[in-house]
Amino acid sequence: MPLLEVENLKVSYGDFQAVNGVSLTLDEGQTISIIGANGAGKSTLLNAISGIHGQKTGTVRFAGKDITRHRADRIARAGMTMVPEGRRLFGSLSVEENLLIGASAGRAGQWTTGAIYELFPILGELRHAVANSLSGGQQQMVAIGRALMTNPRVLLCDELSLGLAPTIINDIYRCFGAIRSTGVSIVVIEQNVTQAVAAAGYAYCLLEGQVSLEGPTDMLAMDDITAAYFGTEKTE
Amino acid sequence: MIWVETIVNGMLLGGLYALVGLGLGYAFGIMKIVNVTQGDFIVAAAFLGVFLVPWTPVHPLLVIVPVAAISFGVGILLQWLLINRVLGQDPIPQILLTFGLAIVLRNGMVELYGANSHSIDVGELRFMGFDFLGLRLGVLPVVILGIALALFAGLHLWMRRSRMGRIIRATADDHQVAQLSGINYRRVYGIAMGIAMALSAVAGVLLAMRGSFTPYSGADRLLIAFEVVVIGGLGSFWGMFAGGIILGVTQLVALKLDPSSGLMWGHLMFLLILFLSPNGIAGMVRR
Amino acid sequence: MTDLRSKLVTGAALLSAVLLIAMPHAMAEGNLRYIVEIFCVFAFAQSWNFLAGYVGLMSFGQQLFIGLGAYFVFVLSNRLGLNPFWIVPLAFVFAGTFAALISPLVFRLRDAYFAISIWVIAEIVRLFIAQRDFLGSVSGLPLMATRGMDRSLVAMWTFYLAALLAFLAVFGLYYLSRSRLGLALAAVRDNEGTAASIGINVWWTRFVGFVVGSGFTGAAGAVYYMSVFQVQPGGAFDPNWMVIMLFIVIIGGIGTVEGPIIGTAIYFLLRAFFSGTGNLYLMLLGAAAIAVMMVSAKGIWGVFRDFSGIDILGARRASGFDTHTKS
Repeated sequence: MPLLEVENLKVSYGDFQAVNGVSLTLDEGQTISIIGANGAGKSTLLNAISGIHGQKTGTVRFAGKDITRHRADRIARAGMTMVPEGRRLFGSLSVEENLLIGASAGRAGQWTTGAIYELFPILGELRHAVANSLSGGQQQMVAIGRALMTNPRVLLCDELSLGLAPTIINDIYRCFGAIRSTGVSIVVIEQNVTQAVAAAGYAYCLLEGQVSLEGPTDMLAMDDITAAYFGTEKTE
Repeated sequence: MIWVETIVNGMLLGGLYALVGLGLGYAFGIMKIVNVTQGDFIVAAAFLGVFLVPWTPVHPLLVIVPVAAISFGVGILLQWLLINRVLGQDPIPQILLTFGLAIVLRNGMVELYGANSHSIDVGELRFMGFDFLGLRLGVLPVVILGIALALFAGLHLWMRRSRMGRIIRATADDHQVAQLSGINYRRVYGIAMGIAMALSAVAGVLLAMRGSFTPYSGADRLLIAFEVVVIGGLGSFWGMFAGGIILGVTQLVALKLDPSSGLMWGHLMFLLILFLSPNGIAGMVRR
Repeated sequence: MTDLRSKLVTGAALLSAVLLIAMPHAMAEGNLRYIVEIFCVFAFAQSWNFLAGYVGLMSFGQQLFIGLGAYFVFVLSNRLGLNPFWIVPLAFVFAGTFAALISPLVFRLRDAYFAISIWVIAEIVRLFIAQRDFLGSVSGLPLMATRGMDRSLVAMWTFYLAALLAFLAVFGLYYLSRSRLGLALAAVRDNEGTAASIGINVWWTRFVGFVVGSGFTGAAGAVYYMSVFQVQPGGAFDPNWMVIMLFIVIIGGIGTVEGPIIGTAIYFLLRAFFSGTGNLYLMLLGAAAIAVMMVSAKGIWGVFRDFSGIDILGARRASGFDTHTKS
């Protein structure tokens, strides 16, 4: 049985149908990525799965339970959380306080502040700094750390590379191995196709709110992805 | 010397005014909610104090403890049952909702108690005075300032140091993202509103010990609270305290100069500060 | 089809005008006075509705302008011996000018803080007037000029002024909301950022809305107190005016022309029914406002419009009685 199962999910903002019938599955320990251009509905899809966005139809099953109607805080306490787009730290709180907020979910596990400082040593040095004073890359580390502090079974990552320099993006994605080794399953959303394909074993391409292509990343040809990404015919 | 005494007395009164504003400012700082009921609730808490004083052991001042506890519960219920249901981008529904509640509360009190003036009896404490550096000061106003200061400092420390304080601050920063850490922000809002109402209730009881009140006093109390918060810079803790002091001193000095319209000068001082610095005292300091 | 609705509205406006002009000739003086009160309260409520629902400025201090308009007419008429009926348009100008003068200050605050800051100013003006003997201090001023006039003539002209206010509060608001200014106001109310990005001056648009709405309240305040020949600071600047305005607008439906008509009818019916119960009736108004907020912030007309699809005087649709899709 898959850990996370999304079936025919439709999400709308008022009259605008942002996600139009998406289905996907995530197995225990697996990493999948969802690729798509700006406005393809990626973030909306993730917000709906995590429970932040409530206007949806279809089903979301997590660990065998239907959680479609559950609120985000309940889903987080059940073991699925998200690193939100744009990091969105608690700006007036210190680094350590931001991490401790993650522990509010009340889930036991191996992720503690100590483990986070081991994963991102720089955060240990900056633990008393106010979150708003950090650089973009450091903020992204805090955002990932905060999500890990809930000791999730599923981690949803929304555009980790957004607004960051390439070297920093590599640093961030390098931590994925360590995270995966603790048994966390990951869903990554990316505009950056190379990064997304490298990070995941299976990928979905989203176009205008629908899955335009899916498959194991080692089976997908770059040309097919480009076509699915932009919605163009494949060049012969 | 009489002027120094007036100013010192104004500061003593101002500390209490700051406490009147604290509940409103605290709720606004965390939830961006302006609870218009707060003014009339301050009066309701005073009535509750009048009712509970005969049963209060040791000293009538201690009545603030049960009144605060009850108000905490009322605040939670108010938030959970009513305000949480109209939360959203548009602030107008929650403001109108609390306005409607204020009307019900005020007229309910008029219905129950008539329009007469009441006050809370604290025994001889009300008339006790002492000399300090040649000034004649009342014991009760000094004790009240002490309580106000203790509540400001206590709340500040609790918000900084406790787990719940941290959760409340995080929720204030971004309530949506707080959910991703398993925080039910509606529940947190309830607790914050409970604290705000408890603080307002203590202020209401202390005001009723220093002076008197009628069921119609709520409007004046709300205006004081509002002026304290705006002068202080919308949610800044110590800015609010300074705002209270400024209002208290202005009022008493103006009453000395123009016995018929001390209240009006307090309002004018508010407009003057708003004119000088739109972000209140906190805005002035930051510049 | 496109012109059908505007033709119907024009027809309704003409018909109302004829009826209003004929009314004083067909009605007893006592009834006329009651209708004057209804029209004035409706005009208060509609101007608050204009500010809160069309301009996006919620004020808790509009009693300020009721009092200012009334005092302006009384003082000017008594001092200079002028016919008060000719001064009413100036009350609009006076109250509007006052609003213009305070807006640089109060526009620095938003939402509830804006709302209460105007209430503070109303309190300052009330306390100021109550201390000044030449303004009648606490006991207020009588209206001298009308004493020497023919009673039925006074009643008729007061009625015409009130009727003009009510007429403007319906059809004036309807045409205003479809004008360029009305569209700019709607844009600013719905989204400041977007409005600014399409070249609308947000501050200025709000300013014009605030001045017009407050000026109208001032004119209505003048007519109301002229009809009772007496003004006192405690009554003219009474925050309970706000309670009544809020109740009428919220119950009826904020941001609609029709809502306050329904709200005013309900208010006067309730008042007649519960007269003599004093505070119980005010509690009822408050409770009704809470109930409406809990069920739907759109009020009676808003809910009715959404269910029936009938939208007579709304600004959103440009053509006939087209039903809109339910969401």
